[in-house]
Amino acid sequence: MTATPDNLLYTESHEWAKLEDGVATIGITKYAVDQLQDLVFCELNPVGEAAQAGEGVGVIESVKIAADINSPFDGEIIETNSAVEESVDQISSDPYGEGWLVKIKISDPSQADSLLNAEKYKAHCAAEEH
Amino acid sequence: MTEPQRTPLFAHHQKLGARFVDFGGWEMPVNYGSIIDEHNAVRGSAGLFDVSHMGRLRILGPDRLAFIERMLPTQVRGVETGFVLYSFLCREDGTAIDDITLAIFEDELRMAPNASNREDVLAWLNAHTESYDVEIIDTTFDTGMLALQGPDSVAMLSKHCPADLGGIGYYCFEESEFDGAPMVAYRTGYTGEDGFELVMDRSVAGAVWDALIGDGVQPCGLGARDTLRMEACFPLYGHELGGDLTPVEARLGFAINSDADYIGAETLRRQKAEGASRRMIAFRLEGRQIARQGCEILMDGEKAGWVSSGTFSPTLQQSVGLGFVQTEFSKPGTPGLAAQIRNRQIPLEAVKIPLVPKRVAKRK
Repeated sequence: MTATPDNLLYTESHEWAKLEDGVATIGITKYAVDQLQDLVFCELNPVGEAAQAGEGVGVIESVKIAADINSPFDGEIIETNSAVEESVDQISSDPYGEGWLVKIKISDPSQADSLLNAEKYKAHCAAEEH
Repeated sequence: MTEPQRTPLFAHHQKLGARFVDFGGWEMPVNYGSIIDEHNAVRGSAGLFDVSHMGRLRILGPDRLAFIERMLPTQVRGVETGFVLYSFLCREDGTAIDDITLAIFEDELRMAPNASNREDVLAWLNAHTESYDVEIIDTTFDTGMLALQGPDSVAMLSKHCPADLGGIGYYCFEESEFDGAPMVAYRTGYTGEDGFELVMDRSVAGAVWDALIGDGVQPCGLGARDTLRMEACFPLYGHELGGDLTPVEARLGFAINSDADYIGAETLRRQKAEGASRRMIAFRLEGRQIARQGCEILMDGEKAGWVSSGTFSPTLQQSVGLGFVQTEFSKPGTPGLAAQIRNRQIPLEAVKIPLVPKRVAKRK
């Protein structure tokens, strides 16, 4: 399996979050990219909109399926990656970097406790394979 | 829920790294890598699909023609041996139990229903055999079925098969061999490209698969099968047929041409003559978001129909699909149509069928 960065937190629905100064950058994992295959479209909720943990902050579509992007945190969307709405290629090629999706100003840092670290996320993916 | 069935090629798919999906009670490969790459291989060279999940039924007995005339709205009497017909089994109200192909052999008929409908089709046929001397044998589990599709199909198959493959007409078949093992080669398919559907004994299906893949044919899963058939605007049961839909609404009236007293004749003949109140359309959407099955189609903001199938077309590089609308809105270019996708209305253009031109062999 491809490297799962150690410095990120993960959801069971295959989003990653990077926490910096009360802001969480959100994306989808390499595993999610591989599962979806053939990404064609991404639509993100607008800046200023509230985000709720476990609720959608956007949608990614592949040829096969449409998948919600679930927020790992409550908060407010303060920035979206407009480049990926133009072309989804960056999500496939660099899901943990250029392919980030939204930044959320989080309102409850303790929600990080319910997210998975890289080790646990890898185990979660391995279990899903079966 | 019972365990899903596996085709004779399951281990071969595993070896190629396939992702699997439950389809009609069968554990089938949905893709091996990129669906778009698999799709493009079929449009550009050749792809190979395991379609062993499809039903394979033999209809034997002296009354087989009279029996099938009662069951299908398609003219069978007079069709020569070696030809294949596309048809459907309908109820009295014209709704379809399934769409099928029927091959005319010297001493029997062979019917291929959809995987998910095989048992319903068998039950329906058996429920109507009473006054006919016929026998129906299900050979689905004794045989394998592969679809070799794409412009290089004849060249690829010729390496293994002595028949004059290029000489087989579209919707015709020939009994031949693959590397010495008996095989029936049907010049049919579900992609809009030239190609063959091959039926052989279960025990040799793996060898046929390995030989063609070894020659460089791209393995293709159900994902590409779906995008290819949508571009060709072929109906899929559960999407463009099924429920209260009739074949006339799905624009399959060409196959309603029998003069016999078949089940559903009154409704189907009337609908074909008068037209139905709703009709299938092919459409393109602005932008890349996909209108999936179940999305509403609107006319000037009012509900006018629904999307039955939608995808991103790798050939057209555009969001496309099939749907049903009130017949008055079904003409290509009708202004005011839109698809409701999540909270947005996306302009939808009804276009001519098929979305991508077919490049199949000539009919005989």
